[in-house]
Formats: sequence, C-alpha cells, structure tokens
Amino acid sequence: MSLSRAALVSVALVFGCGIAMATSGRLGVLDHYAALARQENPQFQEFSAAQGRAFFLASPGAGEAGIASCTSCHTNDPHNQGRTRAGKLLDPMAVSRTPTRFTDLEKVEKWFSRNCQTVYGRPCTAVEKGNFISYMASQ
Amino acid sequence: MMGGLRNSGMRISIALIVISVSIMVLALQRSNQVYAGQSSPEPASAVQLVNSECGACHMVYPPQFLPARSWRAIMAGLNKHFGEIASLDAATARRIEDFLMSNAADTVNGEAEFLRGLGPTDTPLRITDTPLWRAIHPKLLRSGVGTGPGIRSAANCMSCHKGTEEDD
Repeated sequence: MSLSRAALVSVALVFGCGIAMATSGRLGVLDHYAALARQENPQFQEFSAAQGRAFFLASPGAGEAGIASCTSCHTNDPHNQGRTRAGKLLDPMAVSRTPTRFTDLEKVEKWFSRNCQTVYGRPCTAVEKGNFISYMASQ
Repeated sequence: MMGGLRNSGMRISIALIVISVSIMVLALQRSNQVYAGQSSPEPASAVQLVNSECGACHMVYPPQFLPARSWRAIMAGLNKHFGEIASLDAATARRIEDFLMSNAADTVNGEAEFLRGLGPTDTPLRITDTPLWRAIHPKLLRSGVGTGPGIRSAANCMSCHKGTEEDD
C-alpha cells in the first residue's frame, strides 16, 4: 500500500469511527446484554423490540400500590415525560427524545436492578433488558 | 524538483496518518469513559451526589429538617424506601449519609426548631412527621391530600413553595 493510500484509509477510518461512536455507548450496552443472553441460552439470536414493548406495558402484579407497571411512572407512551410518585419529572424513555438513554451501563444496571424488583418482584433477565432497550431505541 | 514534491507528499501523508491515529486513540479513550459512566474526570462532590441520586426521584429535602438519627435510619433502609428500591453502592451511600448527618437538624449546621416536640429517640422518617411541619401545615394533614392531580403529595414541597426547587 502506498503511503498516500494509507493516509486516505486513515482519514476514512476516522470518519467511520466518528459515526460509530455516536451509538457506541448504547451498542456497547446492548452487546453486553447479548453476551449475557447467550450465556443464559446458547440458542439466543437477537433482541425483540416488540417483546420489549410488551414487557414495558405489562402489569405483572408484583409491584407496590401505585407502581404496578413501568408505565405507572413513565406513562404508556415512551415519547412522553414521566413523573415519579414524589412529583419529579422524568425524561422520556424513547431514545429519539432522550438520546443519552441507555448509553451508560452502570446507570442502566442501577435502574434495572431497582425497577425490575419494584415492578416485577425479581431481577430482569439479560434478554428482557436487551428487548426493553431495543424497543426504546426504536422509539 | 520531483524529489521535493514526493518528499512533501510523503510528509503530508505521514502527517495525515499520525493525526488520524491520534484522533482515533483519543476517541477510543473518550468512548471507554462514557461506557464506564465516567464522562466527567472530576469526582462528584457530596452535594452533586445528593442532587443526582436523591434528586432523581424527589425534591432534595434539606438535611437541616431532620435529626441525624433519622437520616441514618433512612439511609439504612434504602432497599425499601417508601415502597421503592433506592439502593446505592456502598461508597456513594456513605458519602451521602455523611453529608446528610453532618448537616442534620441537631448539628451546628442544622435548624434546631425542627427538633421541637421530638423526644431524644424519636426518629421520624418523613419531614411531614415532625411536630414542627405538622403545626405549620394543618391543611395538608386532611385526608385525600396526595391523591389528586394538584399537589399530588404533601412531599411535593415545590408545588406551593415556588423557588424551593424548580417546580417540575
């Protein structure tokens, strides 16, 4: 490869990386859950936004009064702002409305670990988490 | 002449490669920081932690309004915090607890009047359970408060106290 071609390739790589980085946080989080999902089930193939939507809308009956579902605070439409029981506004869950959603694994894990227990009475599986994020990323 | 051109072309190419690689290395470092949740290189102060962790769900209540023993009890029960799970990692919880207890009503930083009517071992878990708050807010003690679309909850101070914290 000539030196000038190497230079062109390098510049192209930088542009490519720039585009990739815009989503690398969320893709990294999804990759993390996909790896765990394959550990849970070697047949796992891909996350389902449709199942994520159903999971978001469900009222599994394990939650406290007033927090029976994700939608109790986040509303039925993830494009809407939500509100906690104590009155604080929550940024929309839909990634189109809040692009920073699901880009920080530590924060994502903190909230899944709390809210899965609160609403579902148990930890969520990696597949459930990945489905949920896939749904919100599609909104 | 030709040799000079080729040399300058080579120099430009090498410079482009060096610049490109530098940008990629910097970008990768940055993306790793974001991924690890450490986009800010400065460690958060205790006040920032209180604002971000407590304030994620509710108004940041002034630590001056409850005695230190109340804050200790509240922080010991975050796994069941008024019906919700608000657990924190141990290091964050300790820093928040230190801040709350060192600014509590019964410290030099506190509001001593919030101790009025409290026995030495009374440990209210809600500011709305302190005798002072209840004496000041008799209308909010009526049943039904907290269920309507208006102030929603007696814990929603900013509904009436504009400027206490942004009414959101």
